[in-house]
Amino acid sequence: MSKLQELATAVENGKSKLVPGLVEEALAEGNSPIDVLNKGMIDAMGVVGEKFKNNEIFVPEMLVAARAMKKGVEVLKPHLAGESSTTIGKVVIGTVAGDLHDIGKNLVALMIESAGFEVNDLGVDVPVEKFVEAAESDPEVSIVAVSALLTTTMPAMRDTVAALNKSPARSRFKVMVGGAPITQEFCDEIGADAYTADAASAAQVAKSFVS
Amino acid sequence: MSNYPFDPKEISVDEYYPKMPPLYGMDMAPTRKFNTPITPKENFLRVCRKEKPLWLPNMATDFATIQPIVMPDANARVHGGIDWFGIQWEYEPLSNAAMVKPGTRRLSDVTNWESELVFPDLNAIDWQKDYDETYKDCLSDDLVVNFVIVNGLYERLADLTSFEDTLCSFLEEPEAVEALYTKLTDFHIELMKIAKKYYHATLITFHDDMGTQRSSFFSPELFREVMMPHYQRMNKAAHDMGLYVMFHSCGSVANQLPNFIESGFDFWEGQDACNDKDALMEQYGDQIGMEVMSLMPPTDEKGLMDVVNRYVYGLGKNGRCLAWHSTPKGAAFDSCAKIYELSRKHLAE
Repeated sequence: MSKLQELATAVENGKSKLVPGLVEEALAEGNSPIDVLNKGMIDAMGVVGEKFKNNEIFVPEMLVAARAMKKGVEVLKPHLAGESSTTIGKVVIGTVAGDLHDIGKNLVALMIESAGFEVNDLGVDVPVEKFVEAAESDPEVSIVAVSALLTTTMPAMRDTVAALNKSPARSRFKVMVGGAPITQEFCDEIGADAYTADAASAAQVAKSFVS
Repeated sequence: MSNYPFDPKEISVDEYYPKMPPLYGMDMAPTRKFNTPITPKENFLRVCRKEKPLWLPNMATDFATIQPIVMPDANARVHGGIDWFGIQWEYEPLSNAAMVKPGTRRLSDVTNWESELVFPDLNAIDWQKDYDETYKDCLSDDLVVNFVIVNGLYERLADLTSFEDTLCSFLEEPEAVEALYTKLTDFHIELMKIAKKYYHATLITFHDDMGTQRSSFFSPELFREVMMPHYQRMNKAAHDMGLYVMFHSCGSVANQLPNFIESGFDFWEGQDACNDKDALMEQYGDQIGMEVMSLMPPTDEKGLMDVVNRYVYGLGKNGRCLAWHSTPKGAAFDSCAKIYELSRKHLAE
């Protein structure tokens, strides 16, 4: 088994303690930093996401895999400094105004980051203006992801998406929505580009938007 | 032929049990009283013993559900503030409940729990005084006292650290989790003793939410490894005290029901929105009773009758269901009385 394969297996299995060393070994074997990132870790997280979607694994296994990848990225970062582009896009994410829930939003952020994106997490209870400002102020933002857990904060999601849709920069970014009460129907109604039911699907759809 | 044929006089009374203190932050209405041939408590105990009840027990009419606000956990979750374990809760008006204040963290890491965590002193509360002042005059011996304990094993660690850290710790720090959960289980057993001794509880509703809309947070295998030994010990202790335990667990957790049964829980209070209760009752109803809520039932005659029929001839046909149903304001008929009447007749057959 090559070091890249060993690394991918360790990421998939959430072996945080092994991953940093395997990154070093994969580099020492002559693999480029970009290959170590993409083939050794991001692809592995794709497998993890697929398994999660198919109910073969659950949240803990997905989390430890994402954390293992983070450990690997820490070691890899200095080696990536000279590379032209190490992320596939920037994502702004947050929970809408009036809603303090962050668990689902955090999982989505983690999986999107593990898919190769840079994530600007605005946190919870995020006012409409803050979403718009974050999307407009950074020309590299390609996705805005909006979360709501409560039926009572769905109107805030509607307001947020409406404001984003009016932005002059709207053609540059896609708007994704999610959260327990959100449906595809609601997504269509408020004019968002995509609804996903879980964190792994969110990462997959986000990737499809930039590929 | 039933020893207790239904008599229309049973529902012709217009009497109420005294109004109970607020529950989950909500004001309580006086409890409707029927002229039952045995007490609601005796009827519920039949369900617990897996005997056929005389009617479908209804949380709204047969139970006195209490969550003494002298418990810091209860107060923090209702109003916000500091809970029994020093966790800061923040009131959220939209849901009329509190949640752990975002960004706060009580425990640096689960492996540090022994040095960082101060376990509550249950003797610091004058339970007898609380019972005498708050409950003595409104708790009827005829009703089932249902004592609510919130923040089960999973929830507690998530509150102390974070959702993500808790789930990771199940895989990465099993020894520390095991030790903490052993101590927490001791605490829960002591609290159940108090519920029994001072509040005369028959039923404990024990909360531990562990699912999303589409699945449980963690696998059934992980539940068996991490949770089950502790919940088995807790439930055995409860049963030895003469208590029954209802497991409140929200989210889509149907895949965990065999584990809940093996853990010794007597009832499951789950979410209708993401669990097929009718199918689950068919599959597991002989092993675990199920409480089913009708949240915001329709008020028109047909819609409300559908709710009643589902309880009586569907979920409750074998007497293994506990309804949680209040007659809605503006209802076409008294649906609580109808559930009582029809289930009395049905279960007598």
